[in-house]
Amino acid sequence: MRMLKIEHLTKKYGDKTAVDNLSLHIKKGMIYGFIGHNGAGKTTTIKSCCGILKFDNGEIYIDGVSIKEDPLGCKRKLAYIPDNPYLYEFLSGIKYLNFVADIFDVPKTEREERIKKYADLFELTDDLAQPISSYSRGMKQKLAIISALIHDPKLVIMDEPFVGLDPKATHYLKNIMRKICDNGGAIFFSTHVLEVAEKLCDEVAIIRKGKLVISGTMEEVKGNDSLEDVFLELEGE
Amino acid sequence: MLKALIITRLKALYGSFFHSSRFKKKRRGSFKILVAIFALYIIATFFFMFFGFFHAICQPMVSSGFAWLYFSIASLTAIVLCFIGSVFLTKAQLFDAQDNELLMSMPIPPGYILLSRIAMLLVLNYIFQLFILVPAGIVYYMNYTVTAVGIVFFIIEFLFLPLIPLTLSCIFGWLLAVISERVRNKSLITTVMSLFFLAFYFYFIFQTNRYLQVLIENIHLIGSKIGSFVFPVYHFGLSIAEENISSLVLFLLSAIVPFAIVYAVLAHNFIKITTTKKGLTRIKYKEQPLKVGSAKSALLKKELNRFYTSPMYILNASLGVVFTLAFAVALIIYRDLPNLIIKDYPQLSTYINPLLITMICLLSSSNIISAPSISLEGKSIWIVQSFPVDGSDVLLAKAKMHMVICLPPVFLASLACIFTMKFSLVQIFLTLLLPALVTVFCALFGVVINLHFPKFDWLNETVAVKQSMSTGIAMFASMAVILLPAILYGLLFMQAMSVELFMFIFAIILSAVCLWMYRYLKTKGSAIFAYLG
Ligand SMILES: Nc1ncnc2c1ncn2[C@@H]1O[C@H](COP(=O)(O)OP(=O)(O)OP(=O)(O)O)[C@@H](O)[C@H]1O
Ligand SMILES: [Mg+2]
Repeated sequence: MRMLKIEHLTKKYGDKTAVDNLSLHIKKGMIYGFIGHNGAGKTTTIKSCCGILKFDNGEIYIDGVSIKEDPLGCKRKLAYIPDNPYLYEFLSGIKYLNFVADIFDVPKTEREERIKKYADLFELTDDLAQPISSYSRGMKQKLAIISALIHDPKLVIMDEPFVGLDPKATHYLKNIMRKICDNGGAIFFSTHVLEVAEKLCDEVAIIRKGKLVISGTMEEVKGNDSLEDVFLELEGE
Repeated sequence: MLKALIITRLKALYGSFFHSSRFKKKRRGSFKILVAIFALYIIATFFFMFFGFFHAICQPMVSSGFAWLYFSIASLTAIVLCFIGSVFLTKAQLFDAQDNELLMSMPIPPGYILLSRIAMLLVLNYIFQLFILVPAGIVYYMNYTVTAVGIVFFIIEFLFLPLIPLTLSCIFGWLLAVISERVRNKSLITTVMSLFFLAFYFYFIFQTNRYLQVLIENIHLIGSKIGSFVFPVYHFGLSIAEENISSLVLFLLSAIVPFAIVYAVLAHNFIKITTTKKGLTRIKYKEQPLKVGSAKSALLKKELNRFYTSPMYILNASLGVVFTLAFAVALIIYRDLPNLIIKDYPQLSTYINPLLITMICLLSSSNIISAPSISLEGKSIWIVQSFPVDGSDVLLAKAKMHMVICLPPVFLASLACIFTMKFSLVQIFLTLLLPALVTVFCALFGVVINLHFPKFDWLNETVAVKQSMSTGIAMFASMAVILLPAILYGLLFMQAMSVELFMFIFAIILSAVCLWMYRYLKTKGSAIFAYLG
């Protein structure tokens, strides 16, 4: 069963085609890496999957449901972490988390448990009473991650999630990603850190100028080379 | 380099008035014309207001030999208006602009950054000043002969006068910045300080109005007072009226020297001022049970939180709340006033109560809380867009915030009317209905208009609230919604129907419009919002 199915996705900005006839299938239980040069169309694809960008052609299905037809149903199942953690600066960390929990209708005990668990894990508990405006970039990123996990999503879509995180937080985030997949969820994320992708991902897709270059399991894609070699070779053509 | 910096500033100033990010590329001709007409309307309104003012004082002053006082008062008015208009922007521009740090890290002398920002503020001050000094000059020109030397003097002084309010607003903005950096309850302190400042300003305006007559009668006394106390203003007047070179020099000195000193001190300390963040003691989070609520109430709470934590937002968008409350209090204190008016003008007696109702409507309509609310989402708009909530819930939460803040004072004022005046049953009904309806209209209209003129690329919230198309349109449209029907009634329907019936019909039309806007937000608005930004 596919958790996320992108079929012939095309998105144009004016005359410029940012994503061109892209099809990807992300199975349940998979961590799926999404790689490409700057301006390749990763963020554009990711935003389309989260229902915050209108696309020109194609279809996107979350757990079998079209995002065009039932956007709210789809959004209920997924969590999105954008490339830049612009949050509500005027709220305190805890107020923001509680706001998100209210939106996703998370029961009281569960939200308290999850906030405690993840805030302790990311060492953010002491700062939760502070306004977000006083957070560092990494702290904001951590808060965005915690808020994404609060409703126990089936599909987590992340745009360069490791940027700005310290090594410890990076390590915990990887563990969490694996755990979500073990519980039958799926992860779709973009990254420029190929070493991380190589170790972490079950499957991977590389795009170039909006077009899919190659996709498949990690072994299929890289064979005996390193992912970096494969990527550089494909880019060089 | 300096030129590039200054041009960027000016473009930003221009852009903040005339561009919304959504329409940047495909701006249509008809739209441009609309903007031009709108701008002309505002300019004309201010222009004629001050034209009238100077027309009233010109002849009495000049004919009793106090031409200089006429110009002094013009310059004083210009200074006060420029100062009020630019002080908060000065603070925002100089001391808490978000791109300060970026610019500071580039190889640009801090003096240049400061200079480019001051140049922009100066241009803003020139614009404000045009509205006052040009009418003053024209009125004088129409009544008396003017020499070439006089005109040259006038132009020179026009060019240098803004330095005075600029000096003042730099100092005041700096004080505000220093204070708010050191205080924990920043938002409260800034709000209180600004309200205090504003109260003082209005006190000042009311006093001058009330004493306009006294002013004209006691020109000698006041003249000598101004001469001895408000040095630059005195020489401003004297130099133009009597073409006095030494006065001109004295005026120029008194404008340039303080400004130069303030500029030098600021340039010297600019890095320190903009880079020291004192910081506050950290509050450690203690685990508490969390309150659970519905998605809709969470959205409303979020909007209210944004409102209450921003003194700038409170002050610029909700002054009507303060005025409505002041109106309620005034009604209770001066409850005999309407009766006194009726005694002198018995023909007004049928209109005095409807006039009070109109007054509440007008005060409430000056709140523009919902009009910048979508723009204020800024770069964090992805949050609500990626959430499983319908766009219409987000939009309606913004309208609800407006109502939650504005309706209580409106009802207080309505009740004050009912309890202090003699209202008929129909009038009581209208008092409770119409102002509330107008408030609902303004709330919904603000959201609808902001949906079509959003502005997300601001660096400072002040820009979204103060200088955007959306708030400008909302402000004038909500006023027009009350004034136009009032004028219409006076001109056309006065003979045909009673004012109460007219108000009732107006209420029905207004409800229909509100209902339409509600439906619009629910359907089309929701779809627009989903992919905004
Ligand atoms: N709002 C926009 N308007 C016009 N063009 C855009 C817009 N957003 C993105 N693009 C263009 O679409 C293309 C894809 O951009 P996208 O942000 O998806 O790249 P990306 O793969 O995420 O890059 P990066 O690795 O730098 O984050 C780029 O060429 C970019 O110039
Ligand atoms: Mg990107």
